[in-house]
Amino acid sequence: MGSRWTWRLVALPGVVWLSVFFLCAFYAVLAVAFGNQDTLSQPVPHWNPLDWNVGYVLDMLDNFFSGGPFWTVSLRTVEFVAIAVALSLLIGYPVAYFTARHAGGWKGPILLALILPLWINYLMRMLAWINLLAPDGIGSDLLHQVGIEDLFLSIGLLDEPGGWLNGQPITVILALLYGYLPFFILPLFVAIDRIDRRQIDAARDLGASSMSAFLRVTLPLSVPGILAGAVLIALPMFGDYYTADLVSASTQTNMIGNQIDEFMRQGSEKVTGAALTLLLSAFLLGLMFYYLRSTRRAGTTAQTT
Amino acid sequence: MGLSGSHIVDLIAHKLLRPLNHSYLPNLEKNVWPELADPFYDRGARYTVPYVVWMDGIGWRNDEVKEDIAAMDVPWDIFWHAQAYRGKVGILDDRRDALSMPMQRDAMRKGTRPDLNTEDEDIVNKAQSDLSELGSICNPKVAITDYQTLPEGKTVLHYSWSGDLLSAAFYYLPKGVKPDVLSFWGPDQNGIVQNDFFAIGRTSQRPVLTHQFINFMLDEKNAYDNFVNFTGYTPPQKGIDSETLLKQGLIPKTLQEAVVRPDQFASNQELLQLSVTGQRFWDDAWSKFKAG
Repeated sequence: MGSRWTWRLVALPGVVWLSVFFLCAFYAVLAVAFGNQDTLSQPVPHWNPLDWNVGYVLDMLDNFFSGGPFWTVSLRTVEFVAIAVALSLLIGYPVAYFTARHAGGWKGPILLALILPLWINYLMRMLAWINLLAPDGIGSDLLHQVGIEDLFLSIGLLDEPGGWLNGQPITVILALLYGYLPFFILPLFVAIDRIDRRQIDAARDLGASSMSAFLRVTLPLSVPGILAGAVLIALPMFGDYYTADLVSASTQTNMIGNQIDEFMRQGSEKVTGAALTLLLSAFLLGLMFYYLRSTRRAGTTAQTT
Repeated sequence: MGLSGSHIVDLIAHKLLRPLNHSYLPNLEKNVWPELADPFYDRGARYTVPYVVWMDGIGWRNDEVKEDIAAMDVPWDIFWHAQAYRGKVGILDDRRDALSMPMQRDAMRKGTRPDLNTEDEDIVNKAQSDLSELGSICNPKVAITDYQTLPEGKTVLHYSWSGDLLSAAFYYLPKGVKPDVLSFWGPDQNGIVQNDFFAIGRTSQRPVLTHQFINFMLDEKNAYDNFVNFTGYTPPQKGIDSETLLKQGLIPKTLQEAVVRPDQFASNQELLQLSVTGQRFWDDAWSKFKAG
């Protein structure tokens, strides 16, 4: 009993810290979104829920559901993030699987190599890509040499040779993939690494081929890791605005984060920006609930198998 | 410092500025253009003194863009004929400046004077619709980094602030690239000219020292040093003009128009503060444009 209370006390500061800063910030967004503007276009938050003005939120929802610009950028954001997460799975799963199962003594160095890019600030890495992907950049040249540029040109993902930075959606997706991939691989590696090898051996003893054992044992047991990695990268990707800004800056690649940035930081309609933030938060909350339900279901399945 | 006329109402309404004592600012009358020593947005220069001036125009790489933009009937049309420069075109990432560009184009075609501070929703929406056409024509970047992307060749055609072209020529040219690859055109009339100003905050603890600093910056030599070595934006000084800069070899002839003249302040417009409703029209139109 004493030990339980000790751990509760130890956890308390962290829980209070996170709760207060999350709740205060979120309530401030609510108060601004349901507030008003003064004659100088400055937001006037309504702290008392009884005074809330729903006008700006309704305007934003009307814009969204009538297919206005908020719908356009939201749809584009979902599309970019979905593709980037799918590519992360495609590229990240083999890396995580190999590292957990077959890397042997190389496990440490591979994990270090995965973490190494995170020593450099995200912004700096993206700025480096701007030079690498410039028409005369090393990266652009390499993509041309290995035939990737020709492939992308032939399927219409690239407008012109060397035009990676000419406002291409594929560049934004690949930049998101590059920026967030390590955050997908690491939880997935942990999930695969924790799978009891005896379960795979049991499957093999019962006559399963290695592929069948992978599909019927390893893959289902690694679903919580896949979901954790997907959530971990999808949440920040949905709010990301600087990646699109840096590697494209075209209106054709703007994401919902760019619109929020536009209203909150540069424009005079911070109330609309706050309302848009609420829309994004509601969507992400739905995504989180789905994640929690799926992990609970995956946990139950793992226990019964 | 660094706030243009479109924000001065905010500053004065919030009582954030301290009235200036002109006896500490002899360089204001001595050196600064008379047109801006008593500006319309701050009669008698009661709260502000001008710092730098610029105009909106077209910046381009004349080694890449083959059209003679300055000779076109309506030079703004180049953006709507920029298919050949797709992905290498830029628009200023500023709602007021960017939406004003199609308004200027319309007015120039009709031979009328545009109201670039309009609060007419239809006119603002028409400008947005015209600007959005550029997405399919040339997929423009929306950025204020033309001072870097033009000299580096990452963009070849840009809706630009004139000062960005001068700073591009002064500081951002890669080795071996000469400044005369850069060109600038800006309208003599019915376009946008703007200025940043110096002001002193109401709560300043050292107002006399601040006055002295402003007077120091209004000294012709210091203003010139600041212009050439740091900002690239022209100070409105009587002794600094394009002819002198040209003779000194500081700027090429292709950038002569990027140096704003005093008479352009009379024939062009400044972007001014709008009402809340008017501002919302511009914000909504800009949001629609940025959504692509």
